Amino acid sequence: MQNLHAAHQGEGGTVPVLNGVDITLAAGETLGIVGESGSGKTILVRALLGLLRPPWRTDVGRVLFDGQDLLAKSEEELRALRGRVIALTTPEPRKHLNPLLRIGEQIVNVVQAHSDASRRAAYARAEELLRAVGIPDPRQRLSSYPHEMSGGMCQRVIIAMALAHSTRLLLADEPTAGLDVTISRQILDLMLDLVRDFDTALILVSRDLGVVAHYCERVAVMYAGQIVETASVPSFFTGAAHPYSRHLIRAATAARDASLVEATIARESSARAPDAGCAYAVRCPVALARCRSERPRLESLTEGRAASCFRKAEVAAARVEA
Amino acid sequence: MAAPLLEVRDLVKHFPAGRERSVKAVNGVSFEIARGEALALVGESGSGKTTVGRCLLRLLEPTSGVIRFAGIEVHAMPPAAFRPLRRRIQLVFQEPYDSLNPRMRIATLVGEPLRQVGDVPAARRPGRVLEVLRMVGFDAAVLDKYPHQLSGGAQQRVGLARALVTRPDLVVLDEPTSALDVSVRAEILNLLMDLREQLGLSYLFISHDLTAVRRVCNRVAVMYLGKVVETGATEQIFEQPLHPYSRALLSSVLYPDPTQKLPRFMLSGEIPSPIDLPAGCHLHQRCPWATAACQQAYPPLDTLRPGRSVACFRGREMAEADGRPV
Repeated sequence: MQNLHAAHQGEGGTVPVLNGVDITLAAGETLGIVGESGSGKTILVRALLGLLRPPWRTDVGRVLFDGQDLLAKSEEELRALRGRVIALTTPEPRKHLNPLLRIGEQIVNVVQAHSDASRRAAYARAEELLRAVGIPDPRQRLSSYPHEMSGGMCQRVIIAMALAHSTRLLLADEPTAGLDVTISRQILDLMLDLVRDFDTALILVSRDLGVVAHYCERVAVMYAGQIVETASVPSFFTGAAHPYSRHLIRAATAARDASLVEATIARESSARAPDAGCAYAVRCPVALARCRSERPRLESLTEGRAASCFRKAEVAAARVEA
Repeated sequence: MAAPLLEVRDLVKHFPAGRERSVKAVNGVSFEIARGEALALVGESGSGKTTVGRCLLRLLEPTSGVIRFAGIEVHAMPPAAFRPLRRRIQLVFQEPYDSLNPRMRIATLVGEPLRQVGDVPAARRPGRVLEVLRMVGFDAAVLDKYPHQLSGGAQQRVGLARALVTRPDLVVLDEPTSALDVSVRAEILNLLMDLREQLGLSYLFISHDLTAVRRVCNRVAVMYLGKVVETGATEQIFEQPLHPYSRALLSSVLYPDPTQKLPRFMLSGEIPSPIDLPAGCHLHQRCPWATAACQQAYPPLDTLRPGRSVACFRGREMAEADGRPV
C-alpha cells in the first residue's frame, strides 16, 4: 500500500479518514494492525479490496498486489480476485451470512464463484472446509441455518469461506470480537494453523495488543488515519518508538485485559488529524513546539522499524518518559 | 467456627423456554461467604453467575435450594419480610450510567435507598449521604450534580455510594469494572479493597475476567454452565488451577507480552446450550482428559482440603501430577 488516502464525504463536508498509509507485507507474513476505533483500521481493509462505497471514497494512492495496482482495476477484475486470492473475515459473522440460506449452500456459492466445480464436488469441498475449521458433524452442519449456530461457529464458517480457494492474503477484521474468551483462543489458533498450512499472508486487525503479541510477526499502529509505527512484534513490545504505541502498551499491560483497553479507546476516539503538525501532539506527553506545526513522516529507525515521531530515537531508547 | 454470613446450598434456577423446555441457568450451586470475605464468582456468558447474584437479592425466585443470610433462611421469605434484610445486601451494577436516574441529583440518588429502608430519620439522611460520598472520594460539591456531568468512573463511585449508604454487610458486585476504561478501573478496584478493609464488608464479585478479581478477592469460585467447578484461595486458583475449565480460562488471557509462554489451548468445540445440557460432566465434550466416567455422571465437588475443592473425576490425579501440595 502506498500513500493511500480515503475520505468520508458527508453533508457537512469531506472528512479525511486515511491520510497517506504505507504498508508492505511479504508473502506468508502475519501483520497485526492495531489502533482505536475511529483510527481507520476497518476503512483501510475495505479500501484495500476496493470495497469503499459512497459516502466513503478512496482518493489517491496505490495498492500493489504482486505488482498490480488493485485500485486501477475494474470492478469486474476485482471481483475475480476477491475471495480467490484475497479474502476478508468480518467482526460480525452472523450479519454476513444469509439468514435464509443453509450454510452448505452459502459455502458452495463461494466455491463455485471461482471454480467450475460441479455441485457435487462443491458440496464435498464445503464439507471438507467445515471439517478443516473444526466444526463437528460437518455433513449435517451443511444443512443448518446461521441462526442455528453460535457466534463462534458462524465465525468458523466465515473462515472456511475465506479459505475456500488458495487464498494468498487473508484480511481478518476483529475475528474474535464478541466471542467468549475460551472460544476466542480456539478461533485464533485455528486461523494461525490454517494460514501456516496454506502459506497465506495474514493481516489481523485488532484493538487487542495481547492478540497481536501472540499471533503476529509484525505490527502496525494506526492513529487518526495514519500508520504511526511499524515494527517486528518482539522489538515493538520491548522498545516502541512512538509515544502513542507506548500509551497503548501501557494501557493494555495495566488492564491485563483487552476488553478494557477497548473502553479507553472508545472514549478517546474523537482524535482527528489537525491541519498541521502531528495528529497525536495534543495528547502526547513529550510533544515539542515543532510537533504542532510540522507533521513527522513515517521514517525508518532501524532495520524493519519505522515511526512517525520527531523524537522516535529518544522514545525507543526510553530516554524520555513517553 | 462462626456461622458464615451467607450460605448457599444446592441453588437451582431454571427459566421456562416454551414447549416444556427450560433454560437451566443454575444447576445446584453451593458456596459460603464468611464475614469480611470477598468471593469471586467467575465464568463466561451463560455460566449462571449473574443469575446466582439476582437470586441472592431476591430479584429472582430460585427454583429450589437454600439461601441463608446471617443464619436466616431468605429464599422463601415473602417480600415484605425480606425488606428489612434488603438493607444488609446491596448490589452494584455493571453499567453505572444506566443504573442511575438521569433526572435526579446525586444527593437524591444516594439518599434514595435510605428513604426506602426508612430506618434513618429524615433529618439525619443528608449527613449520612455526605459521609458515604466522602468515603468514595467525593466532596460536597458533587451533591448538586447530575449523573451525566460525571465521568464513567465517578458514576460507578456514585453507584458504590448508593450501595453503601444503608451500611450493608454484603455487597454483590456484578461486573463493576467491565464498562470502565483501564486507568479508572484500577482506581475502582483500589477503592473496593480499601472499603472492604475499613468497613469490614463482604463481597460477592461477579466477573468474566479472572484477572480483575485477583487483587480484590481472597477466594474464587469458577462457574461453568450453572455449576461451580472449582473453588480455592485466589492465589491457589491462579498458581495451580486443577479443573480443566479453570486452566483453559486462565490460559485464554493473552497478556500484551510476546515472551509470555502460551500453553496450547486445550478445550475444543462450543459451549453447549443451557437448554440442552450434556449428560455427565458439562465439559466432557470439550475436555481432552474426559473418560467414560465423565459421560455418565456429573462429578461431585470433591473437597481436597477445607476451602479447596474441584468437581472433576481426575482432579486428584491432576493435583498429584502437578507435584505441589494443593
